[in-house]
Amino acid sequence: MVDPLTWGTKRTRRILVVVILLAMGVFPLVGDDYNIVLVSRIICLSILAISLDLLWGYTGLLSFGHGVFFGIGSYSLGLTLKYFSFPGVAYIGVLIGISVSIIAATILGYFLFYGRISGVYFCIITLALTTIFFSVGNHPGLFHILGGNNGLVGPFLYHKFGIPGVWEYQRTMVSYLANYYTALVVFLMVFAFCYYLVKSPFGKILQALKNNEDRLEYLGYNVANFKIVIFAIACGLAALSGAISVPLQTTNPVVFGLSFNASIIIWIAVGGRGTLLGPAIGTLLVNYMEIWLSSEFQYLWVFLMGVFFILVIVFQPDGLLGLNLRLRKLVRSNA
Amino acid sequence: MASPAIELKNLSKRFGGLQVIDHLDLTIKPGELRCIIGPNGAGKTTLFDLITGRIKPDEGQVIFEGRDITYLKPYNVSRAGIVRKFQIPSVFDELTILENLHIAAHGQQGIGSLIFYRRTETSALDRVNEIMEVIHLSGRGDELVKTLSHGEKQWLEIGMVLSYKPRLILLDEPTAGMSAHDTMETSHIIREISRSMTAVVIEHDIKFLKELAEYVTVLDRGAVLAEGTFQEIEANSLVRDVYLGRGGQ
Repeated sequence: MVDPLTWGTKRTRRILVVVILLAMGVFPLVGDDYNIVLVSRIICLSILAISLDLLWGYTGLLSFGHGVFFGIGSYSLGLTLKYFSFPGVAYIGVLIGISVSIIAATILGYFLFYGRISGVYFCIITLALTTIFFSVGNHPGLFHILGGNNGLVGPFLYHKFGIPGVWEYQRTMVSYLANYYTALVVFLMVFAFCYYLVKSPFGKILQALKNNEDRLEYLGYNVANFKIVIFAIACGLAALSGAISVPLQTTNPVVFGLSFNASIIIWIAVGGRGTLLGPAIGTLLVNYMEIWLSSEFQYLWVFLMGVFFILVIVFQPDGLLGLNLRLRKLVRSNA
Repeated sequence: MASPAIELKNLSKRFGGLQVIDHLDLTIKPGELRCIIGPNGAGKTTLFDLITGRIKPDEGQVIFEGRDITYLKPYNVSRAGIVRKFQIPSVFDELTILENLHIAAHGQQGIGSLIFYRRTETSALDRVNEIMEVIHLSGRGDELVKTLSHGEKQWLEIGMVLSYKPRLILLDEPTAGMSAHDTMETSHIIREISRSMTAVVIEHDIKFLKELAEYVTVLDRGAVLAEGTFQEIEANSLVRDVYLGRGGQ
């Protein structure tokens, strides 16, 4: 598994980072509206994917319900905007989303990890989360609050970010630049945070956990606590990505469904898990592929996506970023 | 007489229909290097599992330095000063030697200090270098553990568990799968570390036992069959029967 975070020399990496940042910053000025919205959505979904990678790629815990926390984030902001309105209400909504997510993850994590539930059983329980939240989201009894199948719709979703009183900007469904740059800034902050986390001793311990949990426990580590902490962090970040996506895509129970939750896993697998960049690249690639394929093959595209995914897992399970390492090995063995 | 390092009192454990540990009593003095031998299935590894809290006994107690640790979880047993080296080398294959040792060195720290890490822990670093000397892996810190030989992984594991200057080290067949040369090296390493702590070693290798054993306990079917110096045990006909005659129950 190649670590793109240490690929090349320091100087090459610095140049690459600057180039990428410039490209991302300049993109909306040259792109068309449709693509700007698309990329904005993809940026939000990348944050989601990166947060799951912390859990799966680094710690070895595969959550089949990570989209649920994305939904908690978006519904929290949506509901806050629906019932309240005051300067800075959007920030409160985002904070509520993140807090609810972290608290839920901590409670769930406490019972799961102290109960020694891991591996497949962890997958199953997180999968069960999707069923629970999907029914709650669609529940007719809660229709007047949550909007059922349609979710939260309406101009109340438009909100202001920026600095209340000093400089504020409006986010609506058509404020393309505002949405794009908000998503971008959040993405960069989250990426920097995850990078720092992964490079810290805490990050190394997570990798050790994935590698050999028993040994870690016998060295004096309360492994359950570590799992709870990373689970809470990952779910908090997922909620953040959901909140940021609010005017960009509809806030409805689809995100609680199996299809969405499985998709996140696919994006990570295609891009390369256990590398923070991989999930972002995978999200970009797979989402664009879906759009291109669905316009070329109206009925076959789902099948083709499935085939593509199977091919990736069978022939290149390390994902796209693993290709680099493979090519290097090939070159060396033929030299 | 000084109080014992570790005492097992009337320890019993049953798995289904099998009495794996049978009213076992064992006392080990501080600073001893005790070897435990016995045929397969005698309960040696189970004994280590009971001491380190991996499993709970049906009856009996494990007393370490006067403290009842019978029901402590493994990470707390480790923090109490007891460390264990597993039969199959249990290290972090995907990380480097140095990373393995650093992780071992941080075992007693809270999560918060591990996220907001400040590089002032030079004492931990010195210890790491010390340990690398003891286990004969100096200067190879950046090598990935999965490239190490079997013997080297065993030594690394021993090195890792030494990080917090434990007071009792449990070694489960430390020379399993090793060449004769590596086995000798290992016996030297163990002799050196046993100078500063109590050590209990499960072993089969006769040469190793001859070289190291001060006092030997023989287990059979979950109970102590005989105890004595290596010479006494070697001459004990009951022990011979158990290993050769009735072996393979």
